[in-house]
Amino acid sequence: MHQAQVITAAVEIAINKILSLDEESYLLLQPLISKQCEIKLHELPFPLVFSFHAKGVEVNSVVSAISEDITVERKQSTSHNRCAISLSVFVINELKDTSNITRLIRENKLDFEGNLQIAQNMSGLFAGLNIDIEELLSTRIGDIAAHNTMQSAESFGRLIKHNHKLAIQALSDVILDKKPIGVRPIMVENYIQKVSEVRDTAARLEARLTILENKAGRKP
Amino acid sequence: MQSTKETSAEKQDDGHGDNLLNHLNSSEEAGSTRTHFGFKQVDKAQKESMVADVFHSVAAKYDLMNDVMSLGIHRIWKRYTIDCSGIRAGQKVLDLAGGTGDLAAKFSRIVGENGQVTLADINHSMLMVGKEKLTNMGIMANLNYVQANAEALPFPNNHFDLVTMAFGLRNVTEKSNALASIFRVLKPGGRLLVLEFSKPTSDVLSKVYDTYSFHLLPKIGQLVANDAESYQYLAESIRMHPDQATLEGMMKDVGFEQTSYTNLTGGIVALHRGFKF
Repeated sequence: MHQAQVITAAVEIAINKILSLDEESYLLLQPLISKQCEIKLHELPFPLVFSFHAKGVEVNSVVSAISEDITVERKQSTSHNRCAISLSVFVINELKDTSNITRLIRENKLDFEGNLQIAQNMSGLFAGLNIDIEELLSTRIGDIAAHNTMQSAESFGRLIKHNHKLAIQALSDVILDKKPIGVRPIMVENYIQKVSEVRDTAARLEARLTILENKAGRKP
Repeated sequence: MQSTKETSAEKQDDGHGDNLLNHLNSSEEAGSTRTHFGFKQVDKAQKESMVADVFHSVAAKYDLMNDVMSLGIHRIWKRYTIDCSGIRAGQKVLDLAGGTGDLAAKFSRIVGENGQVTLADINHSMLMVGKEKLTNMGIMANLNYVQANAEALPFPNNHFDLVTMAFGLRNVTEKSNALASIFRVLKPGGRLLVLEFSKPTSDVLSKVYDTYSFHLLPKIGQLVANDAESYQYLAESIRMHPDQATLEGMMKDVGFEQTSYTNLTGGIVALHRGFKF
C-alpha cells in the first residue's frame, strides 16, 4: 500500500541527486520556484506531483480524502503556479518535437491543463543540465581511472546498442523467414493486390452471368 | 484499505488491557482531576510537565531514534500524510507538535514563498532542535516557530488551510480540548490530519508489537539515547491512546465532518482525517 510513497521518495532522491551534480542547476530552477507540476502517467496508478524550490524538488503523490484509492486530484487550470499533464511514458520521446503535441492531444494520448510555461521550464531544467560525469569521477578515483572508466562505459554502450540492433534483426529474420509467423510488408501488399484481382474477376464474372441470364430470359 | 471499526479495548487485552480499560473508563471522564501518564495515574496538572521532561530528554536523539525504532518506516507514514493533505502553493499550514520538523520542512517547500508554515510544539527543546535542523536545511523564508499548547492555540479563528499533528496527540492531557482548538483555527474547508500510533488490527501483529514495544524498545532507547524510561513511557502511552474508532468519534464530537481513518502498517499507526465545513 505504500507503493506510491516509496516510488515518489526514490524519484525525489534521484532527481535531487542529479540536480546536485550540476552546480548551475539553481539557475534553471529559478523560474520554477514555488511552482507545481502534476504528471499522471497512464502506466502508474498514481500521479507524481513535483513541487519546485530553490534547492531542488519535492515529489509527492495525491491520495483522495475519502478512500484509500489514489486518484488524480481535480486539476486547477486557473492557477498560474500549477500545471497538470496526463500522458503515457511511450509518448514522452515524441514531445521533443513540439509539432506532435496537437496530434497527441487529438489522439487522447496527451492531456494538459494549467500554465504551459511550467512544463516548458521543467523540460528546460532536465534538458539544460550539464553534468560532466568524468570530472565528477576523477575527484574520487583519479583522472586516468575516470577517463578509462568513461571510455569503457562508452564502448559498453556502443556494444549494447550494436547487439540490440543485431538482436532485433535476428528476431525479425526468425519471425519472417525461418519461423514464418510474421509477414513482410511487401507480402501483405502482394496479398492485397491478388485479393483485389480476384474481386475484380468475380465482379466481371457476375456481370457476365447477369447478361447471360437476361439474354436467356428474353428467349421464348 | 479503511480500517475495521470494531476495535475495542477488550480485544486488545494482552496483559496491558486493564490499563487501557481504566483509561477509557476513567481518565477522559469530564471533571476528573486524574489522567494517565503511560500506565500511571497522575494529576492532570502534573502530566504536562512530565511529558515535557520526556521530550527534553529525548530531543537531541529524537530523529535518530525514530529511524532506529521504526526502521525508517516513519518516513513513509509521513509521506503518506503529505499525500493526503491536498496542500497547494500559497496555503497556510500548522504543523502541531511538529517536533523536529519533518513535516514542516516538506510543507514549507510545497506551499512555496507565498504560503506559510507554522511549526508549533509545546516543548521548547524539541522546537529548538527542529529550528536548528530546518535552518541548516536552508528552510527559513516561509516558516515560523511557535511554542504553543495544542489545547489553547494562540492563533486567530479560521486561519489555516491544513493542520497536521504527527505523533503528538497521545501526549496531550485533554485531547478533546486540543481537537476543538484545532477546529477553531482551521478555515472552513480546511482539513485536519492526525498521524498517531494506534491499535494493530491483527492479534498476531499485536502480540509481536507488544513484545517489541515493552521488551526491545526500552533497550534500544537505553542503547541509543541512554534513556530507557522515556521509551518505556512511549510504549505505554501508545497503549493508552484511544483506538481508531474512538479517536474518530472524538473528532466528530468537536465538529469535524467527513472523518475517516486509514490504518498504516497493520494499524500500528493510523492516519485520521477530518474536515471543517
